[in-house]
Amino acid sequence: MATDCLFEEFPDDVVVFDPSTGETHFVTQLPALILAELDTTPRSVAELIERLAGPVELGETEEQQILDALSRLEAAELVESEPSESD
Amino acid sequence: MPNQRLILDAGPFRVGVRSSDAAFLDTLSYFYRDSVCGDGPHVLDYDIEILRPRSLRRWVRAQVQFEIDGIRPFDPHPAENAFPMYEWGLNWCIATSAHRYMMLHAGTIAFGDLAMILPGTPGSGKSTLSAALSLRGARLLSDEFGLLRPDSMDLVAMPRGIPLKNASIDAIIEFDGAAQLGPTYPKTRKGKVRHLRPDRASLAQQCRPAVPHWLVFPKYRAGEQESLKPLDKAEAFRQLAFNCFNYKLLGAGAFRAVAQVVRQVDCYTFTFSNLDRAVAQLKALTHVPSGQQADRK
Repeated sequence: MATDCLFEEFPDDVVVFDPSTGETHFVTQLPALILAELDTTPRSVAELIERLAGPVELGETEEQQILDALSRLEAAELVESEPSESD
Repeated sequence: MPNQRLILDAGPFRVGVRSSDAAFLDTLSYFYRDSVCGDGPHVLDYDIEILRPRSLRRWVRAQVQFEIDGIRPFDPHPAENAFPMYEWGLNWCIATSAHRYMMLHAGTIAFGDLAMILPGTPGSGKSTLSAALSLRGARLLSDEFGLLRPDSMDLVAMPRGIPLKNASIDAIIEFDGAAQLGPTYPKTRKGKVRHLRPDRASLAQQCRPAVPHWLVFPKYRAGEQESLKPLDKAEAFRQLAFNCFNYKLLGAGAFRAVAQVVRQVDCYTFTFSNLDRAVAQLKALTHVPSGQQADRK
């Protein structure tokens, strides 16, 4: 995740300031949860989905929503992909 | 006429103004005679000259130019528009240099030492509302700049002439027939403009800051009934940041300051069309105990 981001949490949204770009982002709950999961530890997509799901088994729609949110965060440069060890 | 110089306090800024244009100096004195500093050495924030060009345009379809520290940042204006040119030029000087403040594109009005911030783009009605509220006893901090000190989170006052444009001129005259207005400038780049003189009480208190307590995003809508609605804080953050001149320049400091303002104040949108009803509703808001946000129609 983009390091040293500043966060302000509101009931339905989180506002994120990225000092490296100077940009301010408004994210809804799902992207905010993803950012929180990736705050200190890189995770694979599978790990991320598993952690967000908790005890609940997610369907295809929910998994796609996570992937879409991840794509948007990547486009905003708030997260970045790293090659996995198997690549 | 030889050049004359006035030294004025515009809130936290000390401004020197030189000109040989008698009409311009008379208007300046009319608006700011309570803010003129006496003789003596002064350290100026802005040293401005309003002068006529050294060309035919000195006499033929006469023009004036705005000069700051020897630089002329704008095209000349018709000589009869010297005063609005000075006002807009000083705004430009402040907006491009005073980055020790977080600068909001907002009217700011105080009730005692509690401030109402009225952010808005041109046409939102913030200046007209600020004018009307000041005519009903509120203290004018500014109609254009909310100057927030990030360290203390208070707003400094800079009461100046309020430029009313086009239909808002008649709206203010209808609202208060005794309003003290300056000359009419029919052909400025923003249409017809006439300035409301800042009241003496606001000028006398221009060293007294105020603490943000209400954040109201006004929207003038002809014919619509007044409607004051609570605003979601994340959306208030978005709109306040959008209306901050130097948000990107100040970076993390502005982010934290906007967040703190939004958290500590009550946030609203306000649609209005009639100044009497609008002022009554906003003044009633200031009498509601903090935390009791109301959907008012």
